[in-house]
Amino acid sequence: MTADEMIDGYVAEVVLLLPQRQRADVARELRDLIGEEVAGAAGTRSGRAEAVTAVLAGFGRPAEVAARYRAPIVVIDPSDSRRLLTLAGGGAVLIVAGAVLGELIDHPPAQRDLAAAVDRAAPLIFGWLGLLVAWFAVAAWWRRRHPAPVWKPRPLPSDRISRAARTAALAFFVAGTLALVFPAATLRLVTGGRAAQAAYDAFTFDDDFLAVRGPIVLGLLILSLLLQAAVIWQGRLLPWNHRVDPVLSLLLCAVLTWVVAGPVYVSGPTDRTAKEIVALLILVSLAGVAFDLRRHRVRQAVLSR
Amino acid sequence: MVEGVHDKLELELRRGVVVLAVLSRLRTLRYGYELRQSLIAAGMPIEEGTLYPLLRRLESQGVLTSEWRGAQGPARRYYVLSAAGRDLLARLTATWHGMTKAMDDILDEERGDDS
Repeated sequence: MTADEMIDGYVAEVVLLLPQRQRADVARELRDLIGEEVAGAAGTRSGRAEAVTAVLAGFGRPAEVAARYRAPIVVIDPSDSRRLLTLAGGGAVLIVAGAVLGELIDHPPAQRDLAAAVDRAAPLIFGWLGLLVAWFAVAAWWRRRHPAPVWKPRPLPSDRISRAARTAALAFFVAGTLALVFPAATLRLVTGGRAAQAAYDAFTFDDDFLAVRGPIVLGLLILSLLLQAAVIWQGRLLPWNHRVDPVLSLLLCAVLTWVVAGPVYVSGPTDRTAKEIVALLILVSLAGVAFDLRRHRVRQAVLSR
Repeated sequence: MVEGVHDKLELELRRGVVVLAVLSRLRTLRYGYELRQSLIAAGMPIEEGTLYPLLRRLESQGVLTSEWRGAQGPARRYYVLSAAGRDLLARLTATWHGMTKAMDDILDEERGDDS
């Protein structure tokens, strides 16, 4: 390649990235300027080709030079980058977890292929990333068009709890636990004893579940209900809650994952539906643990003196 | 490590003054290469890949005007301050003097504390 061909190739790569109306004019000027730089550098170089190489290296990558011809286009605000990365990573972890849970629910142990399930989750992860990029790009565009007038003060995340809300939640979870332990009695209560025998059969637990997994899950559920009752009594989250709650939640998620890996109900449709609900609860719990830990660490960082 | 930080911070410092240096040299008509050489001679070298696109950007912002000239030699694109550019240069120069005065005071104060 001759020296002039190198210059033309460089100029072509730069103007390719410019708007049509600018191309010819910039190409003409840039070619002339490179020519003058080369003539100026020729005195210190052994040949013209070497001078061209040195000058073009000094100009930098064509894409970077082209970008400097216009105001930079910001797709994602730099201030959003960390949040984008956190959501991207967290979402990807939840999608992979969901794929693994789906595989555990869909197939018996002998037919499971967890690696293939993770591979099948790849398009969903890319979809999630695309959604995030689109969301943050629209947010950046909107912010540029409608700048927020002032920052609105928000209180520091608090350890205080709403006793009424927590009591209502505790009552709901106690009722749910009782319904799980005594399905026939719950069905009788809800239907006034008018349910068909098939409905009672649908909620018959698998013997293996009742022997091992059921009691362990029940024990953990009761433990977490007792902890919730303690929090209501305290009126606020204490340091020990911040240590115990995430551990218990993660332990519960692990045990529930083990639960969905085997039969829970004798009836197929009931078994599948129940497991899908449990899988959803696992994913929500994992997201909740991450959110609470982050919130607590922010509070600790602000209050540490 | 520290050397890398120094290079990066020096680049940022220089980036802040590049526009002012360019505007100050374009009170009279100059073409890109001539302008770069003039800045190098004044002790303010600016990379080719930074300076030439910057001229176009300043022109698109109405700070500079340009035209092709080449009656007595090869045709070249010449740049000069527009009326708005002259006003901008005056304001940026005042800002620059204020900043250098403040920085001199700050740095002298630090030097006095150290000794």
